[in-house]
Amino acid sequence: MASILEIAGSVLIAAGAILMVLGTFGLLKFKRFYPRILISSKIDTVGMLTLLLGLVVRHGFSFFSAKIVLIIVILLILNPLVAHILSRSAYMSGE
Amino acid sequence: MIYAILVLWIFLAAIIIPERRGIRIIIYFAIFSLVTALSFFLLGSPDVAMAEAAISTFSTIFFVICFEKHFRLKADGEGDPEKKEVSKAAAAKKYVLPLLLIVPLFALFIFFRPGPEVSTYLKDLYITRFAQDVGGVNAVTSIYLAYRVYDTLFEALVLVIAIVAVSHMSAFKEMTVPDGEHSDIERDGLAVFTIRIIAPILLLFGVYLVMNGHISPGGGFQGGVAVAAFFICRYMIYNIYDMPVKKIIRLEEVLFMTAVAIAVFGVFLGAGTFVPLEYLRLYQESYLILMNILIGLKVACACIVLFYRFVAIERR
Repeated sequence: MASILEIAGSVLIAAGAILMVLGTFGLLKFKRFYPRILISSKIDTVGMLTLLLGLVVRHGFSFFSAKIVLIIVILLILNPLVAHILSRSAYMSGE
Repeated sequence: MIYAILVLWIFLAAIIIPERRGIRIIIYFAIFSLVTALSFFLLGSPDVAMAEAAISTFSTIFFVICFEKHFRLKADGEGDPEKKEVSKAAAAKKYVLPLLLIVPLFALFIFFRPGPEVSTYLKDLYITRFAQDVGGVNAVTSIYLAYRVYDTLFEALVLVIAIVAVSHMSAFKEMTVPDGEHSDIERDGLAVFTIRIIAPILLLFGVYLVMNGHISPGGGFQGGVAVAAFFICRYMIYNIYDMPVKKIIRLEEVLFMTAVAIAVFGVFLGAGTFVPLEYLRLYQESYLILMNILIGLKVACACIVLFYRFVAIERR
């Protein structure tokens, strides 16, 4: 017996995995630096966040999901920063 | 079956040693790795077999590429491969081959179950006995700090060797410099602000990983790298060039020798086994925490020194 929460969590995890696969395909498809960094930040942020949210929904309210929420917060802070620093240094080195 | 493969293994090793022609050595080595992987699989460790197969494949490819480059350079002076027009069929082929590889892998991932002929003797032994032998909750930690502690020590030795190699084979003789090139990040307000928020969390997380290595996933190696990441953040914001590198190297050596001494100490207590289980039972979790702290600090020191070396000295 799968509860509604479990089904919703599985759907979210599958959506995250599909987003990551599509993003990887885009990463192979684009050749220039800036489209690639756009795509890679999408993979890191959107795909990862959807997957982790799916895990939280599936697992319910516990210490484990509190840790995942912490990871989500750190990802939300760090991933855009990484993309920002990469594109900034690329711009400065004249890419 | 397994004896035949082991005999073949020794036979191949005996063939490789007197061989002098390069390309034949590569081919024999690839066959040797294949036989090694097969014997690992038959001896009941499919994961090691997969690692061996992957390593042998990549090393063979690297060797072949190196040979090709070497001989092409010798043949026509300088390697300047002319760019060919890529046809549509060739472009499609580029996608077909990975797909052909991915589909069987995926099928293998879904349908493959190790049969009963794969022995799980060691796994069962470790999983049933680690709680009373070593203590802790994380079986992985008790394996790498108790049953296989000598493997872990040699793994930690790799970092020591890396530092020795980097600092002694370098063209620059000095260990520290007063000032050097500054990182560009310090002029980027957004990045500095965010790193200032994140860096203490990183340090805290590293300490958490080290101290909780025997309870949750983590341990000395990962925690040490996280602690070193804190110092890398510190460099990125404040451009710190006055690291006491020599003291850090000395500290690392002392920590490593302490870890070795603790691991070897049990043998001299007359514990009876090579891995001193009798003596581990007395200390249980305090031993795990102590070893994790030693290894974590050692790895942190090594990563700091390597980072400093490449950023401050090798970049000039």
